[in-house]
Amino acid sequence: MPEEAVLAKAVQASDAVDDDRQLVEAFRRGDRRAFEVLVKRHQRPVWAIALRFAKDRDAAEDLAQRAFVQALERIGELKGAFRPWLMRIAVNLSKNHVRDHAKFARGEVPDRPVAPWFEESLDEERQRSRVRVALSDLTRRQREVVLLRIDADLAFAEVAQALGITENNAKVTFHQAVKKLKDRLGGEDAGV
Amino acid sequence: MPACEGWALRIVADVTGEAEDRELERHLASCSGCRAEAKLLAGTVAAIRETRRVPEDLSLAGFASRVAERAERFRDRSPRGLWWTASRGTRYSLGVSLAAFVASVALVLVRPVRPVRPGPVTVRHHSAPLALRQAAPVRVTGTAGAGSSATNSAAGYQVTPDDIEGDMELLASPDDDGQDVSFDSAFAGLSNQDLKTFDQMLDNPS
Repeated sequence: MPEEAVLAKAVQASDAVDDDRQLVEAFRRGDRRAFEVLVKRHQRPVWAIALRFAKDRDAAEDLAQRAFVQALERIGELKGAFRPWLMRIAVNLSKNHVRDHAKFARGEVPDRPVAPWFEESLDEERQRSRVRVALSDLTRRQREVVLLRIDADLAFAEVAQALGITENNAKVTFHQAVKKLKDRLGGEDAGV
Repeated sequence: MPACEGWALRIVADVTGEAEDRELERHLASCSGCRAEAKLLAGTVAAIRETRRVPEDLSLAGFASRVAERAERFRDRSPRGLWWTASRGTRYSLGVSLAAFVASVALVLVRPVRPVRPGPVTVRHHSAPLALRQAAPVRVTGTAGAGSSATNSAAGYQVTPDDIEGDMELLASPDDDGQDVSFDSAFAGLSNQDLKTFDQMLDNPS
């Protein structure tokens, strides 16, 4: 199959681990386009993680770019699947970003991007703020599991792979995190 | 009514939309406790999802090319080669080995060298001292050390009078006045230079 066709097929396949592997191998052989395809395939969940931690869209773009560049730099260390590994890099970079800039202070509502999709009512924004505060009360591991499952949309098996734990452990941690959030927010406020 | 033991994790997987679980659906249909639990968890998960700040219509046009551009800049700045393409573990191992080697070499080079002190050396003068008139061979026990001026050519090191101690056979022949001459008295009053000259005479009697 021509290389162009392989790359096109890889872009279309949304969650094909094998294709990720092929693209990584192609990139290792020096094919720059393969890396671009990998970026296009995984940019959205990386952005989701970055936006969770970044103060604004510019900072999120910077974080997301750094995640991919760091993946490129450390591609030699990749042993398992690309996607969980990349998300782990994004989470670590984001946490470092928060630590360095201290802009995700407890209870702080991050600056909302100036965009039409954030034009909601004040109540809705207040509710989201409460959830974010409750999220910040979770343990580090619980937060990581929730972020990787919800924001990065990783399956529990992938979350486990990214964090070096078992799939069952990832599910238990997620369950504990959600129960804690539910208790903190109260059943009614949690929308149930 | 609490949820049934053993179903909680399947409920978690279900409410996050990971996979359809027909067996769980059948259980939820018949268990009100688990149904309530699933509803609460689903509401909380939905609330978390609401806090995501990624809009559905987020346009990431050009992002991939910007990343590629940045990656190229990084590549231009960074020294490339085998070292950087190796895994971090390999680089760490090589680095530790190199550091250990450098430390070993440094230890060998910097280690202070202690002077070697030889044991007692017996010096036997090879001929009868002319000035002392057929004196018996003198056995001198001494150690090599600094500040010497009398040279023992046979042994090749310096011996000072102070180093010569005990265990000496005194000269047996009398002097011109018929007095016995001891080793001490024979050398009394001689300077280091005199001793050196004297020793050279011993080495070259002619």
